[in-house]
Amino acid sequence: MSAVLEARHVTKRFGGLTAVDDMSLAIPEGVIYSVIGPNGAGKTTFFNCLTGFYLPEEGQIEFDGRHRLDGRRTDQITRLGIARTYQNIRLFPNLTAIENILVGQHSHLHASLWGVIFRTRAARREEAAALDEACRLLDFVGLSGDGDVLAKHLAYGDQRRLEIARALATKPKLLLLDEPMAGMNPAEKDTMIAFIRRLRDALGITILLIEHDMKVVMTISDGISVMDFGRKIAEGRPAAIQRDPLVIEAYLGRGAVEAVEAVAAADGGADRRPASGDRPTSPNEA
Amino acid sequence: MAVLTPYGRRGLIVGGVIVFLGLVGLLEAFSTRSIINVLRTAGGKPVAVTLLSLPELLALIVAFVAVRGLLPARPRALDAFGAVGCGAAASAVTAAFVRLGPALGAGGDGFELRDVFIHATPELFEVLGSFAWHLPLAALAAVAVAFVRPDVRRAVTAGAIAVALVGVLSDHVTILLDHNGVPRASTAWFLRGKSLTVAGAATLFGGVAALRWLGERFRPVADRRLAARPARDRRWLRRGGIALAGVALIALPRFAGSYHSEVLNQVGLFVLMGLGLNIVVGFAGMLDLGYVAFFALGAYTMGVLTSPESFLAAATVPGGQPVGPVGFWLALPVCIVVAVIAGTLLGVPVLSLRGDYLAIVTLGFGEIIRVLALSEWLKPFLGGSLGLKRIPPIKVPWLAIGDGCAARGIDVPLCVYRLAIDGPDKPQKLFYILLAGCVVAAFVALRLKDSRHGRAWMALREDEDVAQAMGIDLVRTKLMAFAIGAAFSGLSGAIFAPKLVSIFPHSFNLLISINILALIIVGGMGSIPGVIVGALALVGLPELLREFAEYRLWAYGIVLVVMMLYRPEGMIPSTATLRELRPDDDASPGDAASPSPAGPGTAVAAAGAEARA
Ligand SMILES: Nc1ncnc2c1ncn2[C@@H]1O[C@H](COP(=O)(O)OP(=O)(O)O)[C@@H](O)[C@H]1O
Ligand SMILES: [Mg+2]
Repeated sequence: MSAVLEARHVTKRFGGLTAVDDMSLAIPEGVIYSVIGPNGAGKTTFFNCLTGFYLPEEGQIEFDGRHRLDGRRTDQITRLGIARTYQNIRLFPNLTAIENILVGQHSHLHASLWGVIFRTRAARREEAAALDEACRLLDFVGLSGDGDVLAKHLAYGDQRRLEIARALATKPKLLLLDEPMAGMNPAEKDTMIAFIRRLRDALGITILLIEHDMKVVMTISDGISVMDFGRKIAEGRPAAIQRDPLVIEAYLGRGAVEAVEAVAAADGGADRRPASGDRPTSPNEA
Repeated sequence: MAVLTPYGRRGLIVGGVIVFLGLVGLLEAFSTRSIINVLRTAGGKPVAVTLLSLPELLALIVAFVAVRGLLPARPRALDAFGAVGCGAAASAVTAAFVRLGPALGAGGDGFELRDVFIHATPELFEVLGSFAWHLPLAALAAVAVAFVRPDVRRAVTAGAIAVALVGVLSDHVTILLDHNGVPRASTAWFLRGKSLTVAGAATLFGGVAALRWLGERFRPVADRRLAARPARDRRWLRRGGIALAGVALIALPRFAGSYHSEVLNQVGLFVLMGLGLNIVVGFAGMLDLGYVAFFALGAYTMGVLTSPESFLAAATVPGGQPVGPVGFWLALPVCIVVAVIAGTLLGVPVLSLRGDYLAIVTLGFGEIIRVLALSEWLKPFLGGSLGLKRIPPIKVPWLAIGDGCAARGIDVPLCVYRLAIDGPDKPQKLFYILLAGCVVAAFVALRLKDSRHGRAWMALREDEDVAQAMGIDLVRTKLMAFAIGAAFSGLSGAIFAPKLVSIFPHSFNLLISINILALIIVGGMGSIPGVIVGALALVGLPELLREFAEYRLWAYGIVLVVMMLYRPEGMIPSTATLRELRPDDDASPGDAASPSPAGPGTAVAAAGAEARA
């Protein structure tokens, strides 16, 4: 299968800190691919490089085998077919749920200024269709009925789902999810796992996921890359990653005993989180 | 007793504030404004005696707000006691000032209170003395209000505001009644002199409070009934409402008379600018402090193009033909285009700036335009500090019929009976031009608000980075907001120039920008009705209270602080558009039912159905 996204030797520095260090990654079409690693490993920064929010100092990023992404503006990249959600939810708080989704559709709507002012037939039809689709997306993420609620008034989990609906509204080929299950309980996580699978299976969207919960990652991923201090320290299928000594060390450091336990727990499918995976996140994450 | 300390302290502060208001001259300036008066017989003759004056009302409001801020949601006996104590303390401070103030400086020791505060006149002491001991009443009212049901509270507030407004503006009410030929005898029970009577105040209060209460009570019922009707009926109802409002607005200058039409025109100019700035600041969230620049550009372009004294009038084209001044209607689109170009040009350098930086740079831009107009360099073209003169009145060519009718003695509405908007009823006729401008601007703003463009602006306001990540082109979106905002302002300026006949650089100072921004904030950011209400409150009201002029900025400051504290969303907050549960009425059924182009959305629907199955 061809790679939807291929990053080669991407490096991003903040002053003296190399947040992403020579990252290379190839994501085949139609997979669910996870990037994991301790907090501050550079995962979010890597996402920001992919979406054009940061310009990496070195490296190339290629999308769909045709488009170079590095150097392009964020909005252009979105229009090529990459959408994302944020680690700390970033909805438009004072717009309604429906309006949030409609904003996501922006680049697929074409009504001109005149069309809008004089409400031409084409503009009206386009707006009605957009509204229809927004309602469908709302329904798809299980929020029908909440369309007219301001985003900031939605429950936390609903906000997460609305953010995904908004990303879907851009009609992406590749969806980047930055810790979509942060702060969820196991039952909610199970629902989210099923939901993410459905995105891939029903819509054919390739998913790139940042996640901390080992169990989730192991269940859902077709492939995994592990980051630590900005570098990729391991890559492979879930089973291989679980046993990789470098990964265990990165996650658990000196606590070798705990490491063994965690691996055993993950193997047995018990609901145990890795001991250090849920440290509070740094405030400067986008 | 510790509970009482804050009340006492606040009482002293309130007293101090009231004395301060007096010392800066505000109370004295307003002392002739009586809100309610009564008849007393003095020496066998009935005389009107003020029962409630505007200074007293202001002092009572200060005391009321101060006490209300301290009271808990459910005041107990001790709180009530404290509140009254607070009022009493404030009264004591005021009364002490009234007693001791005149003595200050009378001792001949070289110190004169009036050297520092020129407003510390005997009149001030008289005014303060007249209500010094009334402040506990405000405190009692504050306690009482805490026990009243919220709906009743809102009704009472509405009634009180109505009485205060009509009472304060009763001289204008009298003028308007006279202008419309209402005999004074028939309103004597309501208005006496420049004040409401007790009966008038009571009726007004009761009427407005009752209406407000009934309105709040039955609004949901009416809404539900309305929602049950077919969309077509609702559409007709709305059209009927619009038509009614249109008729009322067209009739307005006829009833307002020349002076009040002039006030309305002033409001109209600011509504136009407010609608434009609302797009930039309210919709797109870009703080623009140099907005007056586009107003100036519109006005100067109009002046240069239409004044027979402008350099253009004297210039000749290469063939030797004089250029000559052009008419208003030809110049109008040029003014708007010039403003749009300037808006876009300003937009380019500030594209990457946000918040404070944007504000400072735009502020500079506004000043640059004014300084340019004032400069020696452009003096041959713009007249420097002497400005541009003899800008001709607006002519409405297609209304020549009106002239004909008037010549034959046929009565036609004001707007159509003379070619040029000039003469004694100029304000009334100019009103229609401004009305047309405002209607167009409001219409455009409304349509844009609920479109992909409006949503892009609001996304920008909410979170610029995420907006970009939604595929929104920031450059285009920002420039579009600047350009459209500038267009409205340019239009306003283009009407302003012939209205004033002469324009000068100092008419376009920073204060205008601040004025417009303030009216948007007070009206409600991003709200179109808010712009109109804000302009009425911050432009119209000061125009009616002429003695107020000196304190205008002062009051802006207070109004803005109070708004930010108690009602940051503005007087008429912009509401979220309901779409899911109440789709746009205007989308005809055929449109809604038309199949949307197949795409991921359709797949989404299928997937959703699958997931539910
Ligand atoms: N805008 C920024 N400026 C400076 N340092 C940053 C910035 N963004 C992230 N960093 C730093 O880069 C490192 C990687 O951060 P991040 O990508 O957020 O990690 P992760 O998402 O894996 O938890 C952290 O040390 C973080 O402090
Ligand atoms: Mg992160």
